[in-house]
Amino acid sequence: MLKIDAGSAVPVYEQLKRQIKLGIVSGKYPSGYKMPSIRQLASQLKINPNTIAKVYRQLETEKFIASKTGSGFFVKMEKEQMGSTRKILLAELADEFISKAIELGFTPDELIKTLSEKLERKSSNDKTE
Amino acid sequence: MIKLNNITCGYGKTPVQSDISFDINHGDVVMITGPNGVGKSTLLKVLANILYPTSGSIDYGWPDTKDPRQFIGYLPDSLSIYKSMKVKDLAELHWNAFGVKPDPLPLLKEASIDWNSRISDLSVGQKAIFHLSLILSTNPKLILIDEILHTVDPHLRNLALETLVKTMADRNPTVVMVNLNYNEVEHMVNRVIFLTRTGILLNETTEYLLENARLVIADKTPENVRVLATRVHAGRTEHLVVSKEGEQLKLSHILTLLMGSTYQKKK
Repeated sequence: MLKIDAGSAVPVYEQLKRQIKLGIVSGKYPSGYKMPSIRQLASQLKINPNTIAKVYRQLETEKFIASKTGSGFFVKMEKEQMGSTRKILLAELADEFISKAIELGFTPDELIKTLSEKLERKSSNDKTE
Repeated sequence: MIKLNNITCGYGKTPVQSDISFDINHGDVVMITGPNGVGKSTLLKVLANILYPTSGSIDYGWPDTKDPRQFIGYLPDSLSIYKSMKVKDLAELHWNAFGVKPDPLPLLKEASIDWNSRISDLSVGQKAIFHLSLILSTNPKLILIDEILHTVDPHLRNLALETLVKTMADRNPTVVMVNLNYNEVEHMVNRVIFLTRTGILLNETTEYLLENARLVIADKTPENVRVLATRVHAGRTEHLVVSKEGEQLKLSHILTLLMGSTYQKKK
């Protein structure tokens, strides 16, 4: 389910684009999945339909989805592209994490320490489950 | 493009607005906002071609238009629909006049408006929904909506806005709204016109505002930047400036700031 974070300073079309990309890369929207129509998504989120159209157009140029005339947009992503996209998305998440943490005044060492602690805890939790 | 050229409008001797000009692109979704009493609804009536301006002109940019009103759907702030008629009779009258086939009008069903009830028996909110349904059924090229949707309960208002967005997606009409709840419509509009007593304070795309309108908190007025608004809020002086620096805000926050500062200026 796509959502808009009303409090965010990230433009709505960026928010949507990223969510759809994540959905595609994580397999939530598999290849061949029919994306909601512009009309449907716009009215559900109460967004200007042109914004949705812009998101879909950009995702089409970036080869995440393809349009079939008269029947809408479908997920269409090559296997090879999937790997590189996952890496790009991870890098974006890391950038966001790093810039926020630096804004709060943490040092790189502190970040690495926290991350590895968290990961350790997570993997031990996963084992016990 | 709809062009308003040097419009002066009002009732009686004193004009509400003098000599204002602006353009609206076809397909734009515009919000006209500003403090009470600056003539937003009056301007909407002028756009609706119901109130003629004292001077100035409007060019709607539609080819071969004898009466522009046939392409305009206007939801006024007070609804003057025939009170003694039944819902179905008025719907039929409207449909005959516009030659559009009766639609099941899902909004009416949702608002539990009975086909056989008299208009006078409807609540204010139900009337607004009925009126909006009639307007949308006529395929207008220009949809004008005044504050009236505030009288509709949140669930129905949500539904009304959803219906409006569907119409936007299907037919790409030009939409002008007055002062609706910012949070509810901020992602629908792509242009904001902020009106004050002395004319248009701001006429920008939402994209431009989101990118460039920034919040700066400082006792002194920032220099070398365009200051859009200043207000004292919670003990701090907030400046809304056009800049690449400062805190980025969401649209509803930008408009709230502008609104607050217009009221503080008066003192």
